[in-house]
Amino acid sequence: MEDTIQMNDTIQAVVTEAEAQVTVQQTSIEVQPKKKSQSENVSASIEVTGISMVAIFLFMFVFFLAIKALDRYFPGK
Amino acid sequence: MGIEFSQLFPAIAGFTWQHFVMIAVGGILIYLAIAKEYEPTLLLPMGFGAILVNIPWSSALEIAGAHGIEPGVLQVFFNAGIMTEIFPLLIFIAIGAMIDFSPLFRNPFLLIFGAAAQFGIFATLILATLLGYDLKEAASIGIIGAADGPTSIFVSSLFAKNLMGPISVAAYSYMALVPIIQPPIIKALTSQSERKIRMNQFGDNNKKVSKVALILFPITVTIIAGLIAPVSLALIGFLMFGNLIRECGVLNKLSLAAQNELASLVTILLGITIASTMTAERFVTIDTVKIIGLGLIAFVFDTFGGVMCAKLINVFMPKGKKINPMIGACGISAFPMSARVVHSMGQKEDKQNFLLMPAISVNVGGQIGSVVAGGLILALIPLFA
Repeated sequence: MEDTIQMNDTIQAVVTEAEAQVTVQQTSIEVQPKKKSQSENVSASIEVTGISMVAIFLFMFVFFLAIKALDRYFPGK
Repeated sequence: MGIEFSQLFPAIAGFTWQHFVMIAVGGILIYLAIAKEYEPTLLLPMGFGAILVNIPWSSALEIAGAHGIEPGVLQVFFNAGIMTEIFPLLIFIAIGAMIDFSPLFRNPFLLIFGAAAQFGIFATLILATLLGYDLKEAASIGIIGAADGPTSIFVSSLFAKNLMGPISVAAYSYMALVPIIQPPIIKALTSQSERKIRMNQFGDNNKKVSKVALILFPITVTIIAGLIAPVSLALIGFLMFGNLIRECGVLNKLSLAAQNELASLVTILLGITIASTMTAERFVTIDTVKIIGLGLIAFVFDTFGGVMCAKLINVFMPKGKKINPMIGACGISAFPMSARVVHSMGQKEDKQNFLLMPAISVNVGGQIGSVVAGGLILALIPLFA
């Protein structure tokens, strides 16, 4: 009788572990990001290009203003 | 006895034609460094490192220790210096200590070309995705167009570690080849009369720049860049920190150490460590050929962007105030080669045409532009990838 109970416990433990592994696998499958297709990458690269080029010019304009301000308030002698 | 040849001489037994190709590549890099003086501080350690890691069973990469296979010294350097981004960032301190921003204060308008000449990075990014690379890999390849080795290494160490070897080789080789790459493109895009335009009217090249302004500039740039794109702070912040050491006037010994000893030591470590990625299995691939080709395209489009921006501005400029479009090409970060190239091209057309000072201003703007471009890529790519 004790042997049967122990065996049931072992089977239960194995089943629980297996279920846990399945859950972990499912979770990891859900977490895996979907690989983008080539056309998605190309359109993303065009978007990045547009935003970046505008942003670089803006950065440079802000640096230009900073230089002008520094030069105005701290002129060289 | 039962001992086989492969056990006695595992390196010879494991030697393949790919290893031979890589040792030849290492030899070529050493030749270019010594005979042609193309970026010798980096290409020589990279060349020697390429030989070091392409002898099968090289203990520089892996060693059989008590607990199985353990990382060799180059792998340890890679994990400690590149994976953590420490080496490229230390180089940024050194570069910052070398940059003099006073030419920009004399001609601040010329900063615009430092932006325009980053076009090659993004044109190449699009081309690389068209060739099938994913966004992160394409960005790492595109950043070769920053014409700034440490920025290329920094970005590729975050986005495409597997491509670091060819990206670094392409970035540093093309930087050294600027005097060969840029002139034919500039000539093709400009007329002789455009190349003869003098820039005497532009800025005051003898203007004194205040010490306080030069001290406040790196701090201001760091705060502005940090507020707009905090992810770029490591890149821009370390560059500006190096510059602050230079300009503060109380850390002269430290500034000289950053410009000389720090730069030399870290460059040696950086070069030989990057070589650990140049193993035959990784390097002798079609990807390497594609990356070398795309790198060249990046430099071509950089030059195109800078020159065409100047030509566009000239459309709105009155006669006598026009810009020599050649100086747009100096918007790449390769300092001071690009400025020298444009100056000598101007002198060829007209012995009395002195373009060096405005060209240097544009070149310094390009150094800022390339780091800003790197920072933007770091900020934007994860949002789209």
